[in-house]
Amino acid sequence: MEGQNRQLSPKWRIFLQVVVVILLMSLFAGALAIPFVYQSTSLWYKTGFERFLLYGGKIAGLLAACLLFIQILLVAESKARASLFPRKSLIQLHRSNGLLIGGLVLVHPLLVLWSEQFTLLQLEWKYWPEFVGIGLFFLLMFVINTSLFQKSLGLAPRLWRRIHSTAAPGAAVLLVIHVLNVSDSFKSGPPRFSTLSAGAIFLAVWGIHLGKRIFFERRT
Amino acid sequence: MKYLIKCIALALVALFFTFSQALAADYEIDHAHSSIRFGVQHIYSTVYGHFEDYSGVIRFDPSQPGDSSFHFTVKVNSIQTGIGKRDKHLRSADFFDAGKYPAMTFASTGVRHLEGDLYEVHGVLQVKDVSKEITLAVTYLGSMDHPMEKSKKVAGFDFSLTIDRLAYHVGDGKFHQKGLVGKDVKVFVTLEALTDK
Repeated sequence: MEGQNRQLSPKWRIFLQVVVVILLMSLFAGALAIPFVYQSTSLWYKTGFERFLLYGGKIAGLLAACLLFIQILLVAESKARASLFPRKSLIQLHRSNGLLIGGLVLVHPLLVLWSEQFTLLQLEWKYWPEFVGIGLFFLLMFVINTSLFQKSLGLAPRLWRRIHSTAAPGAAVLLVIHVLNVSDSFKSGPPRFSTLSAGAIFLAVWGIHLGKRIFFERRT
Repeated sequence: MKYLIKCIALALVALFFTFSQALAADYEIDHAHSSIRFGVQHIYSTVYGHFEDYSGVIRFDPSQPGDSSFHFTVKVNSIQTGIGKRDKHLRSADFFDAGKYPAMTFASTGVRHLEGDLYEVHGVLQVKDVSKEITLAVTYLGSMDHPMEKSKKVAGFDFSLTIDRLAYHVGDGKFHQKGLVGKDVKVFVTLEALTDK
């Protein structure tokens, strides 16, 4: 099922690895530039330290979003990817990434709320994008903690895998809904298009990955 | 005979005071048919909003305005301008600081008839940590038996005023200096108030 590092010469492999890394870094840099290039109106009313906090919160959130979108690319089976990167390394990166996402997901609302002097949200329908973000926060905390403490919680590997693979697309959907509606930076243009594309790619890769695993499990 | 005259006189006096008290009735604001709206300049345009949660008692007798009084309480958290993030910013310490100052109040200290249906209401407006004496020019729209509620009487009042929000510490002036948000806020109040017959 999983391909070995064959067919590619070492030089080509290194070259393609560098190309993939540069491509990913470029996508990350583009995403993190969004708050500066497509400035939201909430920044009009922030000065000094509060402005710094709000930018920090947006960057933390966008970085978490980018890392979340690539999570599926790290674990989905692919012969092309397997010829470039060892599977074991990618699984380890997937786990480390998950922890990093957990940290960023804690920092993001903290910085945003701090920039607003911790003015709490009221339970009103008009704040639904923020409430989607809160739901996403709890879902991600659930996924990360069930993964970290799988054995302590007594979760059987099969059950854990079901939880994990069901929560993943849920998180991607909530993330896209939250990002597209919580900030007017994403109302139109390249930010909106790229967010929708990232979400669509995530769901497509997840769907193929899940389909392959179900097919393989049924055969064995 | 003298005793009887005294009793009749006392009864008449009591009736007079009872009747005069009944004219100066306590009207409670009919929330569904009243509004407290405001408009403030943003760069060029005027942004309008309103407060949803407020209450008030109006004691009013057009024939004896000196016995009248107006008391209002407006919950700052209920501010609505149509955009959630803006409402949240207005509730923050940058503007109203609703967590620390949850309500604005107005308590009248005197009412005077000017002319026609126009009355002058003097009182104290408290917003955040600032209390100032202000004068409202209130138009009394009239009172009548409520056409749908047989046991109620309804009265109407209208007034507007312009408030310098910076005088009440609603903002520290930085947005006004940048030309983003004006300092003068126009407030428009229209009230229907009900009392038992």
